[in-house]
Amino acid sequence: MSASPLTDLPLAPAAPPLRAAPEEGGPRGARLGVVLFLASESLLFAGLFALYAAYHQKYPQGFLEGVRHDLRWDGSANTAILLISSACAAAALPLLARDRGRGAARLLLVTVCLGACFLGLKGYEYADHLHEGIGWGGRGAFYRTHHTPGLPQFFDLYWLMTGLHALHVLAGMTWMGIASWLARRGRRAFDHVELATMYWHFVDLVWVFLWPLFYLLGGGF
Amino acid sequence: MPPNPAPLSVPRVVLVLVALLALASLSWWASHVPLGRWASPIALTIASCKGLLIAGWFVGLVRLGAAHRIAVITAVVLILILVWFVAEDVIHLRG
Repeated sequence: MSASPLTDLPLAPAAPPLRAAPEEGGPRGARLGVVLFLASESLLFAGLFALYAAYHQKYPQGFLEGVRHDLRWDGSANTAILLISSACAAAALPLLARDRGRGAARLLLVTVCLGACFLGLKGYEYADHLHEGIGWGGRGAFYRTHHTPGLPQFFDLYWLMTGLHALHVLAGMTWMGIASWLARRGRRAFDHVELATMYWHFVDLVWVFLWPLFYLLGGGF
Repeated sequence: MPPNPAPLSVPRVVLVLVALLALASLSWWASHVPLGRWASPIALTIASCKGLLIAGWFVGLVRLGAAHRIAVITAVVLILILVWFVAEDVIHLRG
């Protein structure tokens, strides 16, 4: 019996095992993931900023009065706090790259503490507003004596945008706390810490735009 | 692209921080000057400068690869489209 022509065919060489290209994962992929996440977050805030712009156009007087009513010193102190905290987070990375994990961990811990200061001042500000009767949706004693059109819209946006930002600060503090703990491992923790600092800088970036809109535009502006 | 581009050195971090604090002081100073209808554009321009410093050097977009830049540029373009549509709407409503 003659052999089948199919069995006489030479076998194809074995295919190499499937493996992801190095650039598809690892630190680069994680960084890209965080950048995409932050881009989507910025679109969320952009929608709220657009809403602010529209209402500001419609009720310029109400927004002017609203900004003048906010605690300018408090918002400005918080700006300085967040900028310095961002610098501390950024300065932790070169230390970590040189395997100075303890120094980096300390700087990240300072960042977390500055975040706590930010939230403390924000809490003081919220308590002050609530004490005055500035509630949500135009409710509260404040609106019985202040009738300028647009004030409720201003303060609703204030609660919404600064509240959402404060939640981001809280999330950032948690992530930075974990990063601070990991940073003691030195250079091996670099990738994780870098991602945490990127998120923290984004939180800072959003505040840089919230500050003039809610605290400064009512003065000479 | 290497997995970890070199982070910003500490002296440069300090330099960026000084620039950011200077711009914040400028915002504070400008808020005490009567600027009329230029108030919002000036305030937002200063804020954008601060934003560029933070995104470019602290986040490190100037050091990251093309894919990261494309993601950021796409987000910025989408935000600009959103702002454009809102501005059109507001101008239309004002008549």
